[in-house]
Amino acid sequence: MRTLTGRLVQILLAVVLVACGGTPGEATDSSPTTAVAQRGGAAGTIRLYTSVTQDTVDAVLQGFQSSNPDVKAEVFRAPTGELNARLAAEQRSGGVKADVLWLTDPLSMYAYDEQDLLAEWTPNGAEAIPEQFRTERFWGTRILNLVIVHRQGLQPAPTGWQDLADDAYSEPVAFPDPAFAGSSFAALGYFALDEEFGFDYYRALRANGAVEVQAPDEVITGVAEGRFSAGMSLDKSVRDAAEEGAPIELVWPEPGAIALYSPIAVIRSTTNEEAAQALASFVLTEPAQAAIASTGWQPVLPGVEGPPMPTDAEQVFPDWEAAFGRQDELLSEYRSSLGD
Amino acid sequence: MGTDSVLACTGLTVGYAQTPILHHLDVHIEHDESVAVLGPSGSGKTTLLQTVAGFLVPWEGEIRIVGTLVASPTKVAPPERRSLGVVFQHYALWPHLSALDNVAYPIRRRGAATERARGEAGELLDLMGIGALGDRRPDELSGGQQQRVGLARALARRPDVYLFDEPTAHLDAPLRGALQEELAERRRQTGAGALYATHDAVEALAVADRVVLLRDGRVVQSGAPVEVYEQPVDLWAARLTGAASVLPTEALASMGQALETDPDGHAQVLIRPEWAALPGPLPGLVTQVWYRGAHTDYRLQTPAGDVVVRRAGGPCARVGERPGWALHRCWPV
Amino acid sequence: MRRSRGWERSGRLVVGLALALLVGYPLVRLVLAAFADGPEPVLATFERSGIARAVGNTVWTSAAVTAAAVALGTAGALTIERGAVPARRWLRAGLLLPLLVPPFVAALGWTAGYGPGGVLDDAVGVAVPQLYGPVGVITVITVNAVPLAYLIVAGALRGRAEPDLERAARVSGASVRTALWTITLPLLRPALGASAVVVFVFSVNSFGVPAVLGTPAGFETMTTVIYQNLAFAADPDAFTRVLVLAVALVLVAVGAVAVSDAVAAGGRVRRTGGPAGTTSAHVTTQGRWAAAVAWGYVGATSLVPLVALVLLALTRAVGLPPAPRYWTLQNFADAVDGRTLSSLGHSLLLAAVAATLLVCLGGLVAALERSPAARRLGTLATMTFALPGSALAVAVLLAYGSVLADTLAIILVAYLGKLWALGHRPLAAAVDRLPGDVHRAARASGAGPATTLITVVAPLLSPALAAGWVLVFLFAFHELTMSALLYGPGTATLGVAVLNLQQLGDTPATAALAILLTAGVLVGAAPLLVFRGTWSRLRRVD
Repeated sequence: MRTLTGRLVQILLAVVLVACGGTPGEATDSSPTTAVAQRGGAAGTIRLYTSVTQDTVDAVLQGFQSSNPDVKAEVFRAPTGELNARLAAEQRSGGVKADVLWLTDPLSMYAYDEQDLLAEWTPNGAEAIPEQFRTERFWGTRILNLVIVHRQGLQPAPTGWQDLADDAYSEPVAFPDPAFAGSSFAALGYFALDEEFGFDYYRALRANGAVEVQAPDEVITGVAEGRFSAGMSLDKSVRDAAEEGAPIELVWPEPGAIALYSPIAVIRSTTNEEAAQALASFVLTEPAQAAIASTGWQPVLPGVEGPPMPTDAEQVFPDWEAAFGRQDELLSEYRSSLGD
Repeated sequence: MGTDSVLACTGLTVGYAQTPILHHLDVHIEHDESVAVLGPSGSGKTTLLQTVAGFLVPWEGEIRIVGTLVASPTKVAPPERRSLGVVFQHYALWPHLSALDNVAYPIRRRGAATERARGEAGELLDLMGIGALGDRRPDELSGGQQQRVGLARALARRPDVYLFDEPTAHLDAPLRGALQEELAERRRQTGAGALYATHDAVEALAVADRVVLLRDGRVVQSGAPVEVYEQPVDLWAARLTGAASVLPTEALASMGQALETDPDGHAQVLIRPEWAALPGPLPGLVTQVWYRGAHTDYRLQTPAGDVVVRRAGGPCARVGERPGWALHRCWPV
Repeated sequence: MRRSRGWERSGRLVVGLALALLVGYPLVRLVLAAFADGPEPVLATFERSGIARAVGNTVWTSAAVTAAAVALGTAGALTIERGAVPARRWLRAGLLLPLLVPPFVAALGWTAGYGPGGVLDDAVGVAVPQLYGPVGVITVITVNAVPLAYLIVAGALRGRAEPDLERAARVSGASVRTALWTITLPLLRPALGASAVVVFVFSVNSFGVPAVLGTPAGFETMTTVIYQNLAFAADPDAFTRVLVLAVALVLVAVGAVAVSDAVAAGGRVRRTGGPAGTTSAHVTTQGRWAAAVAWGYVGATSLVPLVALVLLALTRAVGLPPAPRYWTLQNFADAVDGRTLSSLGHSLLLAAVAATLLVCLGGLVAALERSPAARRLGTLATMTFALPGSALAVAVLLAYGSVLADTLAIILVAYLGKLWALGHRPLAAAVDRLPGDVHRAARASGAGPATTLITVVAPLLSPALAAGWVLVFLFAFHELTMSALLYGPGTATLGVAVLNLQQLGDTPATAALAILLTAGVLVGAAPLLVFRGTWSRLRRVD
């Protein structure tokens, strides 16, 4: 019954759309690739589901297509929430259609791993990735650093995370809401589980009048507009805005920027394992890592040159293993420590 | 113009946007007088009513109600401060209120308590003969009943002047007669004046003490109903007020009809159907016959032109016969 | 007679089938999915801290938005349609301006215009203190909802509360104010009820505004909580919470519809008599004052945020003062690439097809008899309008994903389900006004059902049809979430382009794209201003 009515609707709508000059389900033509550096053996069509920013996906795929001209990679890119909803709906109606999953942060990937969605396969060369940026079934592709951004000329400039809880910055400091995105959740994962900070840190922030905004970018906008004196955001976005002339400055904080990685994995149910593995391993090649760096992100492979960073740049890492499964608990304790 | 005019419009010029509709109009209504403004659509009747009621502001001239200035280009009293009762063309009954509450509305606005207002409204509905229908909504009433409610609502206001916009245009003849009488009676009791806007000559002549003929926003003629009917100032006025045949004076004389000398030397005469008779000495061929119950109208083809003749009773001549006709009176135009 | 019955039956069948496929089946799938793991997760959802407060926040802000938007929309309709104001047509266009601006853009415009560091702050050192928080959320949603209320009330004003009914009150001794309270407003009751429903539901499911203006103040609504859970929806429990909250949102909307229907039911009256009176065209002093106030409103609520947005789009980077030396067109170049253009094509196509289909469906409902069933239809269609885009998209995926996935058709299905209420409500109000005899007269004159529909019913309903078409088109054109969740290879829409750009974090470029969209819609809407002439001519035939 379900399929029958569905098919009926499909035919009906197809007629309407064709009558209006559209073609349902038309696919983008893969532009003929000119230079073929090294021809991979994989072929066919694969589908990549990703929440990674568009320009980075474009840059990486361009390289992949020229080295694998026989593979056509279709991309579904959406913000994390929409992507998760689509996957959840597909899981409940006929199965996941993706072959490769490339996410912004590891949190959702842990969940999909727990649901046995991911193929048990690791590409050659994965061991070159620092250990904190990979697991057995998914591995990092790029690194996002949560850093401090402050208003140009702010005196004294904050030097570490603890400074943001200081009276000197009672003109509000801003944090992205950890309940809105996994990348922001990384900060909660780090602070809450770190002995030096703990939830006391959030209580101190709230006492100091800190506010939360929906997304890391809104912190930058607010600091640039003078609404906030300082706040937490992503290094790449801060650098971009500062380069364009926004009146802000980046501080690599003490004890370190909170570093999280964007993981990629092959879906277990893929029908084109070879091509899916080709794409998933391609992001670890030097050209792909360079492409990622060219869009402003820190590559995950230590040897590849990334965007400018302080020479003694320290990084700290959330314990994803420990945080996963405790999101609810962490978020609700976070809420109560903010006094909500 | 009497000193006790209940309504005095003097030199009234009104229009929409840049286009004037009324031109220096003078209309006066005396105590206990009813005036019908008769004109075709577009002549400015409704504009006049709207200006008197206070929905339009005159460009020039002024309006007084019982001596009080209510409208001039500089001073405008709002509609609710004018002592007027208006019966709208389509009654404009409020569909969300019962008949009783429709009539009670103006009484409430005078400050009466709900119960008293309803009591008074009930009496008015009784007077109109629809006392039993007070609980009904307008959409549950027939056209005639709706109009009685509209009338009762205007009466409830106890105004100095009543305004009627095509008051009985949508009613059948017997109902029309009954309502007109009722209204005239009520009005006489209070001495209020009444202004009827209508395009129906029969109605205008029947209800009004005086008839004003309006054409393109100007008064063409004003006088007692008999006067405007029997002595129209021109052919347009004649046609507006009733059926009329027009024959050239000379041709009529050459048929053998004796005519009074017309000092103004008009070339034509107007003949109302009842001013001629059948049979008679003048030649004529019957081309059409209309039986109208109380009388019968005949169209005759004569050497001077077509003429319509009225005769009491049923048809006495058929199409194609030549009964001959007589002319009792005529009016040069 | 027999044949006409058969025709009506098949008409009902089409409407019923469309309703079942577009609204009913996806909703059933959604509810089933929410209860897939039994009642425990459902109950657990409401026991979580913050959820009850978010539900409360949604209900009370929506109630406040409804009161304010219906009051403002009604005042605007009375002023513009009934009052003697100069430049009526321009004023009308000005009041409808927020319709052309997608809500998330509006929120951006308000922060850029009135927030700390905004245009007003730069110019005179004043920032609206309560912009972040419930006051700002209510204000900005209200401004976006006023056109909806205005359109419905203005449509009813033309038909229901004829000028002569108000004039009758005035000459009966009622002041302007008394006539308003005792005659005009009671007669508008059904329209006020209908606009209250649409505005309430619009407010209940609005996400862009509370996300931008509520979150920084710790003010959460059901939609922002839903979005938060969506971010963690890889966890099945979080996904269940999304579904449960979405169903709760539908229930809130259904409750509002029930209340409003009960209130409006008493106000449904049938007019008597013929056409009664026309509006005065004479501009009065009060009219000029009223127009000045209305223009002040339009300026403060639409023009300032729009200008602020333009300045933001012209400025090289956020936080720089909007001075010429910082101006650049680079943001506009960043906003547009080849992908934007192809997705623009898809959005235009989808919006036009959705609007046309929904108006056809609405016309079909109109041609059928006015029956209680038609009113229930309105309630049903409102349920999908109440769903946040993400939840409806999930419902549509669950229902049709296996056959329609990755086609424009699945996005179209979602649009049709979501926007049916918008296309239907103005029409339903107009159908009530359609004299019953015209359609019988046409049949008696030898016209078949289809001819009757085309030659008599459609022309009479054309203002309402046009209003419905435009509303559906604009909402579909602005839609972000559903298409972002449903699109496939080669079927990206403008919403996908906007979200991609937004996620790159380039606020000026996002503003630039928003400006381009608004300008495009403005240009596209220009013929509508001309069409409004037809509208005013047609309203005499009533």
